[in-house]
Amino acid sequence: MPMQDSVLARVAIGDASAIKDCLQRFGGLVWALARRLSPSSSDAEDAVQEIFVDVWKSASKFDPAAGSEATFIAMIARRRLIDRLRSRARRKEEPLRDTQDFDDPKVDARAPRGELAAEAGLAAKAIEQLRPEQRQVLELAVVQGLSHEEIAERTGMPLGTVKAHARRGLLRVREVLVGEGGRS
Amino acid sequence: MSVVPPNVEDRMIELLADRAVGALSKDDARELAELLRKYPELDTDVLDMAAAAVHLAYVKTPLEPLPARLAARVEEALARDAARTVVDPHALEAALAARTMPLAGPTKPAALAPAAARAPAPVPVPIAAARQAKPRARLSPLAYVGWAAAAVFFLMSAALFRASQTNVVPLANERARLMALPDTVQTSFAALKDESATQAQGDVVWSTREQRGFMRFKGLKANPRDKWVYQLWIFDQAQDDRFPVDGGVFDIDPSTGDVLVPIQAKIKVNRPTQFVVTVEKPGGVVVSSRGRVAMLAKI
Repeated sequence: MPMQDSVLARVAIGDASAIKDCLQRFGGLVWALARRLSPSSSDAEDAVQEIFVDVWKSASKFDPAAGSEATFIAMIARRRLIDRLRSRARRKEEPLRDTQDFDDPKVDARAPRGELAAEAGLAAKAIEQLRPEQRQVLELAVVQGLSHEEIAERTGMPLGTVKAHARRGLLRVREVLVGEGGRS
Repeated sequence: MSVVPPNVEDRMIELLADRAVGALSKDDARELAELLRKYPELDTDVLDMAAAAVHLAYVKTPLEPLPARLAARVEEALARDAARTVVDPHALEAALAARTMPLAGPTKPAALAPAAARAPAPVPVPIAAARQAKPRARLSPLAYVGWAAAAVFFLMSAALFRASQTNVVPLANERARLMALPDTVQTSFAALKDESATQAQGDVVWSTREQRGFMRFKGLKANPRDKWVYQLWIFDQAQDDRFPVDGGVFDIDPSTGDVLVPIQAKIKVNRPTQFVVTVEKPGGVVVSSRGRVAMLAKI
């Protein structure tokens, strides 16, 4: 993506007009992720605000060679949501785990997805190449937000095996994305 | 830069994978923070980005837009933040430069290159410098406009620079990616008795499948470029030891300190057995006399 088309490059230099564009382009994505990993709608709303503040502060770290703007923003969102999940876990609250915005990656890989299309399509391709158990573990860990212990309990796999599948699965996804996207 | 033992790198990958899926325990988080403090060059987002990409693949479209009331609230909060934020163009420049170092950019004007033209030396990336960003300063609104204009100018220049480069990668990320490949070998350099390497440490990673690799050095003496350069030789089990593969020439700049050097093997390496750094005349040589051997790494 040319730098002048990059909303994050504009955010990085403090361009106030980029705020609206950023919300328009990525608001729906962040909202979906926040609802997925928050215990209530009001908590999800607070999370969205925190995430966009994080995006505002981290935009200069965006590296187009490492992934798309959508992936970078999803990464920032996940980090914030995971932090919030961890502090909630200490308070024994449960996330909403709203599933209405999530689907099987194969289905979505075929559908037009606008801003997210290229990256999500590549990721879906990468996921299809995983071993079934790696895919299962990653889906439960990344999308459902389950802990390794919860995944072990649900699948009957030993804890160490769950961790190994998650690690190897992520490395494999990264490898496929690099190969397919020509990224470094 | 510290030379990272292989077991530490393995542990880092475990911890970074746990972080990416939100599975770091308190103790693991402390361990990760300690390791990152000790080996900051290993801090990488690659697994977090992979987890984010996985998450994206499961997002169903069309997405429900952000509710208007919430969008207005966020916009207001960001506008307040934007009004308080002053962009330091030096920090921005450092951030951009750190992730766009050319793999094979010339280190000196072509006119200074020797007649027996060899490939230009790769630019070693100063790891520590690449991570330093100046603290933000408070400026007047007028100064802010000036800095913003300068930053816009810089970004446009950076875009033009990028467009002119066909081989631009963030090297530290690339090294981390290579390290995750199953065929990648990694070993430490030993300093030999040459005066250039008395204080030197280093290591090398190499992927035969990708025919790519990186060397990291700390304490290797800066070379006066008009007098001598460093040159890497890769010994291949499939080749006669008299004819190691030329891995490229490189310079150590006195201002850079710790460096990351991409390997530029001139022909295919099938099974590396040793990586040897020699001191050679400017521009490098086709066959080394091995009169000055600075560093050696055995697989």
